[in-house]
Formats: sequence, C-alpha cells, structure tokens
Amino acid sequence: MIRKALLVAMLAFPAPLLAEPVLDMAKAPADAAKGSEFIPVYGKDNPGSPADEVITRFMGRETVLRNITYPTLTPVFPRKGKANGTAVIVAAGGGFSMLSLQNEGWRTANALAEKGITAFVLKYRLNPTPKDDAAFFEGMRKIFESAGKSGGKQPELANPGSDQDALAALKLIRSRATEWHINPRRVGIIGFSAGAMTALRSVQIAPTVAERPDFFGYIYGPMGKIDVPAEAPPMFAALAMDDPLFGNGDFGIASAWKAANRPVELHVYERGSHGFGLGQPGTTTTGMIGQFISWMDARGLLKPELAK
Amino acid sequence: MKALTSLAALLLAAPALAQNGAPAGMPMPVDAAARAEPGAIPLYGKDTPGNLSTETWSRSGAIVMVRNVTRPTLTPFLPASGKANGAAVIVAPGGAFMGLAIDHEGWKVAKALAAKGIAAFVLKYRLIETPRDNLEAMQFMGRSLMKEISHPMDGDLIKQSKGPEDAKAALAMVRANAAKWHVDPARVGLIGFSAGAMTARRVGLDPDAAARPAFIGYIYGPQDAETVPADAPPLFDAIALDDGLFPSKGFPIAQEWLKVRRPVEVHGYQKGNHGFGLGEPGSTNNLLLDEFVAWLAMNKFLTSAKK
Repeated sequence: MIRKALLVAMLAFPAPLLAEPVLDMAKAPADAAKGSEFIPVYGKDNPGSPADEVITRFMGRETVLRNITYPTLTPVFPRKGKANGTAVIVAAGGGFSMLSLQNEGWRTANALAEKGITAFVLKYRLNPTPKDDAAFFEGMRKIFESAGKSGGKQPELANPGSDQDALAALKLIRSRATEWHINPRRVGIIGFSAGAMTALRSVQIAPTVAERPDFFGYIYGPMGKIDVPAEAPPMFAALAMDDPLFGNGDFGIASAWKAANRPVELHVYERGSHGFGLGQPGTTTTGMIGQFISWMDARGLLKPELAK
Repeated sequence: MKALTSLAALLLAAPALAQNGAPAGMPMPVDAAARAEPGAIPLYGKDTPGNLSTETWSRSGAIVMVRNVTRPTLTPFLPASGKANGAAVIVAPGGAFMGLAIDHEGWKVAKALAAKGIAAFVLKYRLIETPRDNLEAMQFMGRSLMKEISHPMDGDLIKQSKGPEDAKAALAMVRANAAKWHVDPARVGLIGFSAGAMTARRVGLDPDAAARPAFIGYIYGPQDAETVPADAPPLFDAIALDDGLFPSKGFPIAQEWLKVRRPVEVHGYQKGNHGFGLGEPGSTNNLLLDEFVAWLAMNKFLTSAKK
C-alpha cells in the first residue's frame, strides 16, 4: 500500500494545462506567497530549514517542492466578512518525495476560501531527494526500472513525519482559533494521495480524539479495508475508477467506515486517473471539490459559527 | 430515523402498519384524484392493453402514487425549441413494481432533464395488481417486498413485472420517432429509480444488444452483482449509503462493470435513505441530476457524433 505511493511520483501529474495559479512557487521562491505567512508548525522547535527546499518544474508543467525539512502552515483567508469559522488544512500529494503545492495545494485552498472556509496549506516533511533536478529524475527512473525488473515489487516508503506535522498543524490552528475566528471543533483536513494517507494517519496516531481532524477529505488515497478507529471522524472519499494506483473497484475503506457506523460519503468518477486535483477538464472529476464543499454544508460546516 | 417520503417508508413500516396502523409522523396514503397526463401516448398504439379506469391514485404526504396501471403510456417532456441537444432519456419511476411515484420519480425528473436540453419521456409501465384499499395495498406490498428484499434482482416481483417489456417498447418508440422528437436514435438512454432502476438494468443487460438503452441511470437500485456482457451500456450508479431498503454492501454491481472494462461511475451519498428522488435540502443527494448530466456530457451523449 505504501509502496504503491511511489508510483504517485511519476503518475501524479497527468493534469492538463493548469489555470493561472494564484501563487506561483516557480516565480520567486522567497516571496511566492507575498504577504502570506509560512508558520512553522512546531514553533521555535521546528526542525530543518527552508534553505533545504528545492523547487522543481515537473514534466515542464507544474511546480512542485522537494526536500521539505521545515514544515509550515500558510493561512488562506476568505474575503472579509465571509468566513464561516470552519478551517480545512490542505495536504497535497507527491509520494512523500515531493509536494504538489500548485496543483493540489494553493488551488484547493483558494477554492475553499471562496466558500468562506479558512484554508491552511500544509508543507509537510518529505523524504530526501537529490538536490539536482536531473539527479532527482534519474533517481526516479532507476527506482521504476528496478521495480519493473523485480516484477512490480517496490521499495517501502519511509514515513517522513507528515502525520506528526498534520497533528501539529491541527494543534496550532486550535491554539490560535480565537485570533483566526475559527471554531476549534470545526477543523478538518483535505488530503490528496500521500496527503490523504497523511490525513488518515493523523486520525490513527492522534493521542486523543480531540486532537484528530474533525472531518477529512480522502482524495485518491489507498482504498483497501482498514480497521476503523473508534469514533473516527466523518470521511469524504473520492477517486477515479481508472486510478492506476488505487482504482481497483475495491472501496474497502469506505465500506469499513460504513460498517463501523461512521459517517462516510464516496464518489468514484468514471475517468480521471490519479492526481486530478480540482479536476481534469472534460471529466466528472471537476465535480469533486463542489461535492466536498456540499458535503461540508450538509454537515452544517458552512453555517457561520464560532466556538461555543 | 429520518422520515422517508416515499413508498419505501411505508413498506419498511409494513409490519407495524399491519398491527397498529401508521406510526406517528408517517404519512398514510390517502385517496387522490387521478392526475391527467397531457400528451400521454399509448405505448403499443392501438394494441395497447388495459384501461385508465383500473388505476388507483393516492397521495402519501406530498408524494403522488398510482397503482394498478394496466394501460402503459409514454409521455414526452421536450426541451424548449432550439434548446435540444439530441439526447433522450426515458424515465422509469419506482414503487416496488406495484406502484409508481409518478411525479417524484417521473414528471419532476423529466422536467428537470428537459430544462437541460434533454428530451425526457416518462414511462408509466404496467404494475402488479394490488388491493384497491390503500392500507391493504401497503400491507400487501410490504409483504411481497420483504419476501425477496435480500435478492430483488432474482425475485418474483421483477419476474412478474411488465416493466422491462414496457421499457423496451418505450425505447423502440422513441427511436422510431427520433426525427419527430428531434433526438438522435443512438443517444436514447434510461434512468430508473428503485424498481425503475431494476427495470433499466434488466433492459440494459438484455441479450439483444440493439434493444438496450445507450446508457443507464441507476438510482438507488440494489447493488448485487450479476455477470455483465463486454458491450454493456455505460452505468451511472447513485445511492445513499444509509439506504434502508438496500443496506449498503459496497458496490458489487459496479465491480462487475469494471471487470469487463465498461464505463461506470458511482456516487454514494452519506445520507438520503431510499426514495429521495432528485434529492433534498441539507443532503449531498441534491447534486444527483447535475452529476448525471455531467457524466452524460463527459461520455459525449449530449453532443452529436456528426460534424
């Protein structure tokens, strides 16, 4: 399951030409998000350094970030007066070796903020990759070559600590809930691929129920059946039928949530492959984010409500 | 449990009804005036059997129900002039093969489709006979349904039903009149709700491929598997995961579609129970029609193949 996530690295970006991103990490790394904060999730105890980071233009189309060692959270606020008090952390994918910040990060955050949701883009720690792009791509090629030779057996992916970073991010938001006009019991995560695994793991490893996300979006994550933690948060699961990594007609994780009597919603689009983000134009995957927001609405999360 | 507004609610409560009458808060069916269907076309022309006079009309809360349909008809709901995209959808309401929620899962759906440029046709298919009295009918229907609720696709109800036969006749009629109704005979599909979904599925998998719809909208149908041919029509499968009539067991039927690599899409709404029609406020199921139409568009059913 974790091994397959490596394929995400190569297959995550079949996305066609993207709309103009609001924040282009490729333009000016230092002030890519001018005016935005990159808040260290562990405060002064934050590990690593932003200097480790590498911006890579993936497949000549999209910007991803590699070698994140200094995890941060960036608020994307709704327009003044529009906030409803619900917060969603956006955890992009990239096989734990890169972060699809542009396709799945900022774009998703902006879509959520448009609907009054306070979004937080999480830069979680990644597994190290060669600084040099060419060496990085060569390394990827070698991994897939050997995976191919060994009959599909892929190396295990180390957990870089993204789940801990997600928990720290939840804690951070809840500690500053008053300042940010957020209801601390309405803080969720939407995760894509490795980000979905990160969100799920944060549910599994949280020391207490209160430290978990209050709900989560699980977008093209592994779909196998798992043991559902007691009082598991509501889950919105979505992927495409033709997802080469996780689309095998088995929606076990959704069935498990249902069997455990935990709220769950499932959308499996006919086509869209893996990594469709806000949707591959011309496919029904473009409906995903609207369906996620509608699900939040049905759960009362868009009704303006600060902490009680 | 949230009160249902469809026939299913009453059927689920059938044992209680048999003993105690309607539970508090449950809308008991009351007699209603027969609704005219302007533009209804006898399905088999002058060979159409039956008579409108056998019909029993009732109302459960806001839901209009007709039972004892013996004279099958098809009623067109066409898009405004110039708005048609050439697609056609026959709408098969549900009601356990013994009733039709003809507005909730029929006319309302057809109007919504026509508003999107899709020619819609409400199929009033022949029903298994039920007692005239509303309460007796509910008890009869409840008993009949409960006998086979764990295996509806192999049950007696669908076996006895004239629904599939009438649906095939409806497809043939729309295709034969394609020019008149401004539809493309290659883009005529079926959308069914509950028993209507089962009907659409049965016709969709008919051994005679030419008799099948071009696509199947399968709304809160049973998810049990069956072998699917390699040329099955595309399937749009939507249901609420808290459906009380067909408790969630995953989507084995969708997996059968995938096995033969035929197009399939699944929407499992967190809540909505059985019989939500086009959806209700406060639920994600109210996106059903938009999702169905977007899926049709993706599969090029809303545009002409000719250039």
